[in-house]
Amino acid sequence: MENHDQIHIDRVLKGDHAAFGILVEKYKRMVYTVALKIMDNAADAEDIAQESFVKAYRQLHTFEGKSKFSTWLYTIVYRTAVSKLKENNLETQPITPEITDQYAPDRTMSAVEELQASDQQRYVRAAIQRLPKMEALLITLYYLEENSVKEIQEITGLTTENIKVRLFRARKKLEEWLQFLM
Amino acid sequence: MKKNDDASLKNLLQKVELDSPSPNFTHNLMQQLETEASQASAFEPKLKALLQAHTLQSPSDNFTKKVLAQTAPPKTVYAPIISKKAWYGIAASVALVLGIAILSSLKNTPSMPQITDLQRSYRLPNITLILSSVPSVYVMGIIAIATLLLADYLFRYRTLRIV
Repeated sequence: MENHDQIHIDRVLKGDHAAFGILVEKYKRMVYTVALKIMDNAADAEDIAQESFVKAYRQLHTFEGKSKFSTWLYTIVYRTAVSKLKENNLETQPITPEITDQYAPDRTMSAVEELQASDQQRYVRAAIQRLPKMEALLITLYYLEENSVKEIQEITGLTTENIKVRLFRARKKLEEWLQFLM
Repeated sequence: MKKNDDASLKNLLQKVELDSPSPNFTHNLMQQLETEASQASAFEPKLKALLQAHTLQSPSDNFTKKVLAQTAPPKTVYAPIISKKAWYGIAASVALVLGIAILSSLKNTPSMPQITDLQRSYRLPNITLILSSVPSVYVMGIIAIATLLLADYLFRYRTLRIV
């Protein structure tokens, strides 16, 4: 999978612009999802996702292949989103460890809504939204992209212990909230 | 005095034996931990499957198009080397040279070569005669300018790009 990425990267570096489209198509959903976990707003998340891809394209020559391309790309997304948050800190909460431990507003659905919501997706997304931002991001990187703790450390800059503790907490919460779906 | 009181209180408290839990406390605790661990390991793949199935979100439909538009290399636009003004200048110079040539040919009629019957019958302007009457300096000048313009065009038309 990653070897395929390297083929496309080499093509882009040789001037084949269309090859970058293949990488965008492959990673756009994950990049957008990661951005959304930090930004909390679909429009901002899309801007961040676009900006991240543009940065990745411009810095592609600096990618040495020591880590996975996806890890390198998500690091760009994470940093771009966090710096954007810092710029807009009057409007949004910064993603610092202290604040990320605060819970997002409880968006638990009412009983009637629960009955109406037949789609598992709603429950899963609602449960993730209830998590603190950083935990939601870690869960996304860990389970969806199957990044290792070391790779997550590279992306977020958190310590291994911190990541493990936050993942444990998030897992416990999700276990509780989503038990009825499993 | 106070220091001594604190020390004696500490000694007194340390003499009191600690309360003991039930004899099978450790066994029960280990069992509980084992159950929790097995539940967690059973839960893990289910959670993973659930998250992988429902968590990824999609950006707008034209997302890739927008990104590629922003990363596209600048288009190469070829601009004409010789501008319109230059062409007007060249046309004016040529017209001027021809004008001078015609005027000088009219003044020097006796020295002009004989016009043939065919030329006379069709009343065609005799370009050969006109050109032959142009002073050689002008002809050389036209040829030099044309050569320079041609060379300039050949050397530069591939490299001049406007971004």
